[in-house]
Amino acid sequence: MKKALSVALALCMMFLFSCSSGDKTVAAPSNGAEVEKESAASLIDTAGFGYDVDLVGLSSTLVYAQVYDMMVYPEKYIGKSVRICGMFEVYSNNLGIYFACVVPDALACCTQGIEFDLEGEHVYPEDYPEIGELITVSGTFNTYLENGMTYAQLQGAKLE
Amino acid sequence: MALLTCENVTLGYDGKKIIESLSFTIEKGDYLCIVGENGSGKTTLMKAVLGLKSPVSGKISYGEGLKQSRIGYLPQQTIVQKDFPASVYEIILSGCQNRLGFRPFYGKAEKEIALRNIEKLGLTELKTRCYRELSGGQQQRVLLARALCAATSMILLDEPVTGLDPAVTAEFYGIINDLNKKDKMTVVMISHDVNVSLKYADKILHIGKELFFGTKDEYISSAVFSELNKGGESNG
Amino acid sequence: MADIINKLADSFQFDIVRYALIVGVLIALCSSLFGVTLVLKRFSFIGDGLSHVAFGAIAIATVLNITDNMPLVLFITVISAVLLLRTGQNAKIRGDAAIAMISVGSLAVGYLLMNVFSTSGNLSGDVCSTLFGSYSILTLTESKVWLCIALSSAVILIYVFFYNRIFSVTFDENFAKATGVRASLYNLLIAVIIAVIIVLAMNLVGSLLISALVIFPALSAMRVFKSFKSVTVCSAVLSVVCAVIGMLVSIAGGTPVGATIVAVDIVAFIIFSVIGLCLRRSR
Repeated sequence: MKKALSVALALCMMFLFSCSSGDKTVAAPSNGAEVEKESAASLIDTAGFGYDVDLVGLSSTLVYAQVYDMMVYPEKYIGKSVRICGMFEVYSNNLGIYFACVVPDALACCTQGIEFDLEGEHVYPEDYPEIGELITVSGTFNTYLENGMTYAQLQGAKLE
Repeated sequence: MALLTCENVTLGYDGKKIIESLSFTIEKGDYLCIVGENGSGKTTLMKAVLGLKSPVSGKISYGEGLKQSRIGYLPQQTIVQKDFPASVYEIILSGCQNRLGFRPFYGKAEKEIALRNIEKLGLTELKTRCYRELSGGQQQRVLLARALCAATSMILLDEPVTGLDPAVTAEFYGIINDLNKKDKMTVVMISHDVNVSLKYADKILHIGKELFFGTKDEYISSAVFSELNKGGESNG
Repeated sequence: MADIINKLADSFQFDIVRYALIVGVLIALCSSLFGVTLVLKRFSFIGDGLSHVAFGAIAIATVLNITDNMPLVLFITVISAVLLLRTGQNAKIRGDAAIAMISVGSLAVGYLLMNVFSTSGNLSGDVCSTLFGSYSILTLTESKVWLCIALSSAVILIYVFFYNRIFSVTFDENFAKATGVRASLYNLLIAVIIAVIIVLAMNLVGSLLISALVIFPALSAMRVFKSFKSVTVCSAVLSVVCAVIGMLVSIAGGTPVGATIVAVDIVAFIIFSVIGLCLRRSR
C-alpha cells in the first residue's frame, strides 16, 4: 500500500514538473538571447584583464585579510598588479596629502587600506571622488621610504 | 609463601590514624572478606595494598610472583563512568593495559585474554553494546571482566554489589565464588553484608574499633562478632 | 549559487586562504581529539579558563612589544594548565573558584594592560580579533603557520600513540593507577597538550570561542555513537568538516571566521541530537 502511494506520488510530481518545464521551453527563445548577451559581457569583463591580485567581488573578510597580508609582507607583492574596491579616504600631514582605498573587516571594527597614486597629473579635490565614496582602483604595488618608514602604495593607479 | 603479607601496617589521613598496627596474610586461593563499619578504613586499606596510598608505617609485601600492578581491582563506580560512551569490549580490553609495557597498541594476546574473560562472564552478546546502556548488574560484570584481564592471581573488589537488586546480587556473588573455587583466583572483597561474607568467605578481616583477622569459624566465635550481633539485636 | 562557487574558486588563488585551510583543519583535528577527553573528565571549564589566561599572556606580549608572541603565550599557558590540572581529579574539587578567579582576572588585567601600554593604532580591533578570531586564521605570519603545523601534527601523533592510555586514564583513573599506569604523568601530558591546543585554537576561533571548538564536536558525536573509538573518530571528522565549511562560508560571505565556525558546530550538534533521538526511539 505504502509503496503504491509513493510511486503514485512520484509519477504525479514528474508529470507536474514536465508540464511546467514544457512552458519554460516554449518561452525560452525570447529569454535566451538576453542570457547570451549577459554571459558575453561578463566574458569581456574578465578575459584579458587578469590582475595578479584582484580583490573585487570578494568578501570583506578575505579582502581585509589579504590587504593585511600585503601590509605585513610587502616584499611578496612588489611589482604585482592589484585591483581593489573600497571606500575613498584622504589623509594629510605636513608632508602632503595621501589618498587611500580602505576596507573594513567583517565586524567593521577595523579598517585596512592601501594608498594609491593616480597616474598623470591630478588635483584634489576636483579630480578625486567624494570621501567615503565606493571606488575601484587598480595599480602596481610598490613600497617607498619616507621619514625612515616604509609605506606601501599602488602606483600608476587608475580609478574605474 | 603468602601471596600478600601486611606487617604492622598503620594507615591514616592528614595526621589522623584510621588503622593501627594491622597484620594479616593472604594465601593463594583464599577468599577474604573485609568487613567493618562505614568509614573504618576498608577502602583505604585496599588502596594501600594496590599502591594507591602509602601506609604511614609498616610493610606490605607480595609473594609467589604477584606484582602490585597485577592485582585486579574492581573499584566503586563513579558517576562519570556510568555515562561513559565506550563499548563493553573497549572497557574490558583496557584491563590489559598493564601487560603492554612500552607498546602503544594491544596485540593478539591481549585481545584473546579480553575475549576469554568476556565469555567467562557471559558478556559475549553485549560485547559491542554501549556501557551506559547496560543495567547496574551488567556494568559490574563488565568491570569484573576488566579486573580479571588485569589480574594474574588476585582480585580486589570494593563493595561490588552496591545498588544492585537481590537477584542480581546473588548471581554476582555466585560468579565470584566460581572464580575462587573453580579458577583458583584469590578473592579479597570489601562487603557491608556480614551474612554474605560468612556464606562465601574462608577468612574474615574485621576493621573497626577492634581489629580481627582469622577464619570464618574463628570470627563467628569471636568477641567482635558477638558485639556486632548485640548491636543488631538491640536495634531490631 | 554559481556566483558563490566562483567567489570561492577565486579565493583559492590567495596564499592566505590555502594556509588558513591547512592550519585550520589541523587545529580542528587536534582540538576535537582531546575535546572528547576534556568533556568526559568534566574539565570543559578549564579549557575556557586557560583561554583567558592565554589572552592575558598575549596582552603581556603586546605590552612588551614582542612581535612573535606565540612562544611566550605557550609557555605561560602551559604552566597555568599544569598548575590547574596537576592532580587530576583533586584539582577539580579544589580549583573551581581558583580557575574562575584566574580566568576573569587574566581577561581584565590583560585588557587593562593593553589599554594603558599598547602602541598599536587600533586597540579595539586587535582585542576584538584576539577574542573572537574574526580573521586571525587568515592573517598568520609565516613563522606562525609553521609553528601551528608542527605543533598540531605533534599533538595528533601523541594522541594516536598514547590513545589506549588516554582512554584508561579518562575512563577510570583509580583502576589505571592500580594496574601500574602512571596516571599522574598522563594527566600532566594531557594538561600540557590542552594548553598547546588552546593557544593554537585561539588563532582559529579566538579566545572566547575556544570552548565551543573543543566541546561541540565531542558532544555531537556522543549523541549518536556508542564506542569510544567511534566517538573520537566522529568528533574529529565532524570538527574538520565544520571548520572547513565555516571558513569557506566566512570567506565567501564576509562573516567573521571564528563565530561562523562555531555556528556551523552548533548546527551540527542540533542535527546529531535529532539523529540520536530518532535512533533511540527506533530501538
